[in-house]
Amino acid sequence: MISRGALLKVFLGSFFIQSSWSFEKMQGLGFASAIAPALKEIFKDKKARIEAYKRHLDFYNAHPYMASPVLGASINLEEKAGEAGPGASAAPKFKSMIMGPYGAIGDSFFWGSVRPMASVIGVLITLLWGWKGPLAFLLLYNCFHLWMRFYGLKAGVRDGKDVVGYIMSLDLPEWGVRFKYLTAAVLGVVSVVVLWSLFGAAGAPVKKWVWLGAGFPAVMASVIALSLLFKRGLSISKLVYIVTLPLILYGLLLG
Amino acid sequence: MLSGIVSSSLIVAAVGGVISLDRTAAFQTMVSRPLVTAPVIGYFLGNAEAALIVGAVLELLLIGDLPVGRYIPVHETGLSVLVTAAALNATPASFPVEGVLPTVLLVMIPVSVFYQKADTIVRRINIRFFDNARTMLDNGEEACLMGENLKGAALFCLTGFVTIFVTALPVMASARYLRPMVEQSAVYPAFAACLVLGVAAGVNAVYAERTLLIFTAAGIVAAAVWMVGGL
Repeated sequence: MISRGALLKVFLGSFFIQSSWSFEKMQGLGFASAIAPALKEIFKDKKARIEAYKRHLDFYNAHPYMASPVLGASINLEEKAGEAGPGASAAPKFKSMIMGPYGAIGDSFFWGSVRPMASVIGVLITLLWGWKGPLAFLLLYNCFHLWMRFYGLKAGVRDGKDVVGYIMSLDLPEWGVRFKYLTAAVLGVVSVVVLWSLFGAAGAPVKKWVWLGAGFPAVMASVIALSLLFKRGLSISKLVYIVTLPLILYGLLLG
Repeated sequence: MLSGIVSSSLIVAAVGGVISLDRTAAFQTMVSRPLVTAPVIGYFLGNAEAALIVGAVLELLLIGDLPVGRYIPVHETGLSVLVTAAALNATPASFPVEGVLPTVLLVMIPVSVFYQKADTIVRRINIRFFDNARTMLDNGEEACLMGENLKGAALFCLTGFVTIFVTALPVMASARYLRPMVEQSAVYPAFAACLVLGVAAGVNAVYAERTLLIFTAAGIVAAAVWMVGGL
C-alpha cells in the first residue's frame, strides 16, 4: 500500500497533467510526472523504477479530471507488478484501453453539461446580484471537479481495473442530460432577466405588460432561430458579426 | 499618459498570463473563464463592477466552444482580458459599459485568432520536453519528469503574458477613440442582441431532445413571475 504522502503528491500532480500538452503525445508527460511519486515508493530498485517511469511516458489523452481514476488504477496495477516482478505490469494496456471511453465521458459530462450549467447559473446570479455570480460559478463547478479528482483517484487505488465499475455506477451520461435540461430552464429565466434589465435601461417609457407582451415572444423566437443557425454550422464569431454589425451601424446612423 | 497605459498593459498581461495557465496547463478550476477573468481584470483597472457585465456576455457567447481532442478553442482568457481592457478604457466613469461592448467585441474577435495561433505553437514546442524527459530517463536521470512537465506550464504562461501584452498595449492606447460611441444610446440594441445571441449559444451548447421545450416553459414561468411583480 502506498503512503498517504505519495498519494497526496499524485493528487497534486494531477492538476498539472496537461502542463506539457503536445499534439503528438498529448498528456503523456503530465501523466508520467503525476504518477512518479507513487512509482518512486513502489519500486525501490533504481533500474525497475526507471523502467516504470518509461512505461508511463507514452501517449496518453483523456479528459483531465478523468485522469484521476486512471492514475489510481495504474498505481494499483503497478503495486501488483512490484510484487509479481519485472514485466508484469498491466497498467499500460489498461490505460490505452480506458482513455478513449473516459475521455468521451468526461468531455460530455464536464465540458458538455456541468460547465454550461455552472456558467449559466453564474451569469444569472451576476445579472441579478453582481459579483456573487462568479463566486457561485466557481463553487458549483469545482464541487464536481474536485470530487472527481479526489474520489476518482481514491477509487482507482482501491479498485484497480474495477474502477470502471465505479465510474459506470456514477451514471454520468444520465446526470449530464439532467444538467442540460436544468441549464435550458435557467436560460429561459436568463432571457426574461435580459428583458427585465433592458426594461430598466430603457427608462420604462412603456407599461411592463406591453414590454413583456412584445419583447418576450421576440426574444424567445430569436433565441430559438439563432440556436437553429448554430445547428446549421455557423460559428459564434460569424454570428456575432451577422447579428450585431447591422445594429451597430443602424445605431450610429440614428445617433 | 503613455507610461500609464504601458504599466496597465503590463499588469493585465501579467494577470492574464497567470490566469491563462488555468485554461490548459494547470488546475482547470475555471478561473480562466470570462465570467471570472473579466471582473479580475476590471478590478486591476479600477472598475470590477462594469467588467462583470463584460464577463457575463462573453461567458454566454463562448459557452459552447469546447476543448475536445486536438481542437484548440477560442482563447477565452485572452479575449476576456482584451475586451475588458478596451471596453473599460473606452468608457468614461459615468457611462455604462454596454454602449461600447458590441463594437469592442467585433474588433477583438479577429485578434483572438492570434492567441489561438500562439497556443498552437506552444503545443508544438511542448513535444521537446517530452523528448528531453525520455532522453534523460535513458541516461538514468530519474528526477526529470516534473521539471520537464513544468517547463510546458512556464511556456504557456510566458506565451500568455507576451501575446496579451503586445495586443493589450495598442488596444488600450487607442480605445479612447471609441468613446463617442458610448454616448450614443442607439447602439444599445446591439448589446441586447449580444445577450440574446449568448442565450442562443447556451441553448445550442445543451441541445437535447427536450431542451427547447424546457427553455420556453421556464421562460413563460419567469415572465409570469415578473408580471405578477416577483422579479
